[in-house]
Amino acid sequence: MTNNDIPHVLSNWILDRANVTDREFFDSQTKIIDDGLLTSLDVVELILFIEDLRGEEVDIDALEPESFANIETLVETFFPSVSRDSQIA
Amino acid sequence: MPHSAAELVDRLGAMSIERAWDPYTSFDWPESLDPEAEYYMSPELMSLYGTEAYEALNETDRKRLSFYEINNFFSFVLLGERPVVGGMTERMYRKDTMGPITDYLHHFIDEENKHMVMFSLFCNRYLGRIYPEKKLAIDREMAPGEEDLVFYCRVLIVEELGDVYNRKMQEDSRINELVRQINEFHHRDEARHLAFGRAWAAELFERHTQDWSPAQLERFQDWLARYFASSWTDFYNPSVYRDAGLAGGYQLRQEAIAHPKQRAFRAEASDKLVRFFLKHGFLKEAPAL
Ligand SMILES: [Fe+2]
Ligand SMILES: [Fe+2]
Repeated sequence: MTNNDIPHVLSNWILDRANVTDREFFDSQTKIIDDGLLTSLDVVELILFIEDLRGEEVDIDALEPESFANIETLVETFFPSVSRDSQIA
Repeated sequence: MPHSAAELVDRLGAMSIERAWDPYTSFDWPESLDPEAEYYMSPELMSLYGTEAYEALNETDRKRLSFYEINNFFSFVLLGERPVVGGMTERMYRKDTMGPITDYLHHFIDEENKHMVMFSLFCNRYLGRIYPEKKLAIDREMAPGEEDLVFYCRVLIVEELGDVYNRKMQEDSRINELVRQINEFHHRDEARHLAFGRAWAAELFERHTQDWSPAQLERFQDWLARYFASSWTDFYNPSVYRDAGLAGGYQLRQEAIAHPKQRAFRAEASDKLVRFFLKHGFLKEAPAL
C-alpha cells in the first residue's frame, strides 16, 4: 500500500463499519462522529486499525476528539507525511 | 430474598472490615517472573483459545502468550477501576447516597484503590508497563439520571466480566501462584461489590427511568448492548499478540473475536449479567456478544 491509499483505506473502513452502501455523499470533510457514522465505541476499533496501518501504537493521552472529525483530520493526526504529500499535489 | 441496597450495605461493610488486606504485604512479590516458565492465565481463558492460531502454538509459546494475556487482563481491569473510584467519589455524600450507602462507598473506593495498587505492582514490575486503553470519551446527550445508570452499568460490566475470570483462576493450580492469589483476593472483594452494584443499580433504574420517554429508554438499551459487546473486545489486544511474538496482531484480534468458540465462551460468561439486565429492563433482548 502506498501513502496515497491511506485516505481511501480509512474511508472504506469507516463506511464498512457504519454499514453504509451508498457512498456517493462521503468525502474527506464528511463529519464521522457528528453525522453519526461512528460512535465512541467504534473509535476504539478505529484506533487499533490505525495502529495496524502505522505499524506503531498511538499515544492516546495526546489525542483530542477533534482528530476524529473527518478523514482530513485523521490523516493530519496519524499520517502527517501523507498529509504533506497531498498538500504538494 | 433480594435485599434493598440500604439493607445490604451494613453486612457488606462489616465484611470489608473483617477481611481487610494490604496489597504491599499480603503477597510475596518476586523480583521478576519468567514468561516461559509456567502458565500465568488458565489456557481456556486466553483470548486466542480455540482458534487456529492457538492450535499452531507449542507449549512454550502458549505459556509466553499467557504471561502477556494476564498483564492485559490486569491492565484493563486497573484502568477500568480508575473511573469507578472517580465516579463513586463524586456520588458519595449526595442527597440520594447520604447515610449507609455513602458509608459503604468508602469501603468500595478503599478496596478499588487497593486493587489498582495490586495490579500496578504486578504489571509495572513484571511487564514493565501497563497496557494503555485505546478509549476516547465523546459526550452524548443524556436523559435525566442516565449518567448515573451509565456509570453503574459500566461498573457492573467490568466487575462481572473480571469476576468470571477471577473465579476460574483462583482455583487453577496449573497457573503461577501469585497470579492465582491475586485473582482470589480480587474475587473476595468483588463478590461484595457486585452484590451492592446489582441491588443499587436496579433501584436507580426504577427511580430514573419512570419519567423517560420510550425513545429515551430505547437509546439507553441500545447503548448498553453495544457497550457490553465492546467491553468484551478489551480481552483481544493486538499489543499482547505482538509482545508474545505473534505476527499480524490486528488480524488475530478480528479472527479471535469472530471465532465461534470465543463467541460461545463470551455468551456463557455473560449469561448471569445479561439475565439481570433483562429482568430489570436495562436490556430488552440479549445482546450480540
Ligand atoms: Fe476491583
Ligand atoms: Fe470492585
